[in-house]
Amino acid sequence: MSLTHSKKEILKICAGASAGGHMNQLLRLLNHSDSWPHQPTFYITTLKELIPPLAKKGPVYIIGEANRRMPLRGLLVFFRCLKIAVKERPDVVITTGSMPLAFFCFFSKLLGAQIVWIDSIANIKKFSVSGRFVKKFADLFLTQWPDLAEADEKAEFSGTIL
Amino acid sequence: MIFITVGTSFPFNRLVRAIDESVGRGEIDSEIFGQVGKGGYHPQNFESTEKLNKEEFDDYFKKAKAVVAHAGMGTISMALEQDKPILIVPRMREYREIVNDHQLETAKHFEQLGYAIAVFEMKDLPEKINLLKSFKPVIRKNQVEKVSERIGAFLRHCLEEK
Repeated sequence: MSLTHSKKEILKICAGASAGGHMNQLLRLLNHSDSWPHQPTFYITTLKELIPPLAKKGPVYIIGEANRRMPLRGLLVFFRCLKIAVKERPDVVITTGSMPLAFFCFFSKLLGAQIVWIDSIANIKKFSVSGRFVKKFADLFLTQWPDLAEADEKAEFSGTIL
Repeated sequence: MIFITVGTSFPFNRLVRAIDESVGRGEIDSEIFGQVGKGGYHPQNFESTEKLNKEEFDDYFKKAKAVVAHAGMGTISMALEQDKPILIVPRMREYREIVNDHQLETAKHFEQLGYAIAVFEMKDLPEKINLLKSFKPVIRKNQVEKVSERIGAFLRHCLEEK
């Protein structure tokens, strides 16, 4: 790999997930990412409690929690995502969800990023609401359930994180 | 020790009360510690706290012989990672414990796969809790490396395109 990557180009990567099961899955994935091309990465999550495990790896942004029950808070998170996307301009976003990260994917995509969405293992029978939204524009959309991938043209199954 | 955890986002008094009453009747023969959230119900028959910080939580989780929890993926995934026997009770929308009934699907599915014991009616709780002692979760075939390889290939592709 080192030869092909001796070019100057770099990829700015954003790895992000909401606190909880989404973050557990992202962290587990990142712990197995030694084979990825080594690129500058920043991190996004929803709760400041998660700063310690992420700050060891690189810069961290906290965008706050949002779900369908909290429309006003959602709006705040929405604009924070826009701000970070404009400031950082990632080339690739890698995320396991959920809604706040879907906002971030949306803005980053508008600004030219490639989107890698891994739908949470919690979504067994159908993709998450945010997953279904992001699937429309994602560049790589992975599910952790083979049946879901089989029934969908875009979704791929390559294994489970957990 | 059996560790009870219901997370912190919504109350889950139905579960906490059922365990408390069952312990009171002498139906559960293990020591119990509970993280019971801010539902307002305070167990009389076992030691508990509303919330735990991440380290305390991890510590209780690790020390526990078994875990009883809502059917949230954060907790389930931790149990799978540590091969911890887990009993899961889905939060239900009709009791305003969550915004939709996806935990029901999760609970059914993970029980079917042999990764967890699930309880759908509180009357079954004591019997199932006592089953935890002899419950051996099926070891999950881990495929995180395959997911990681797929994303690594995607990233190398992004670099070449740049």
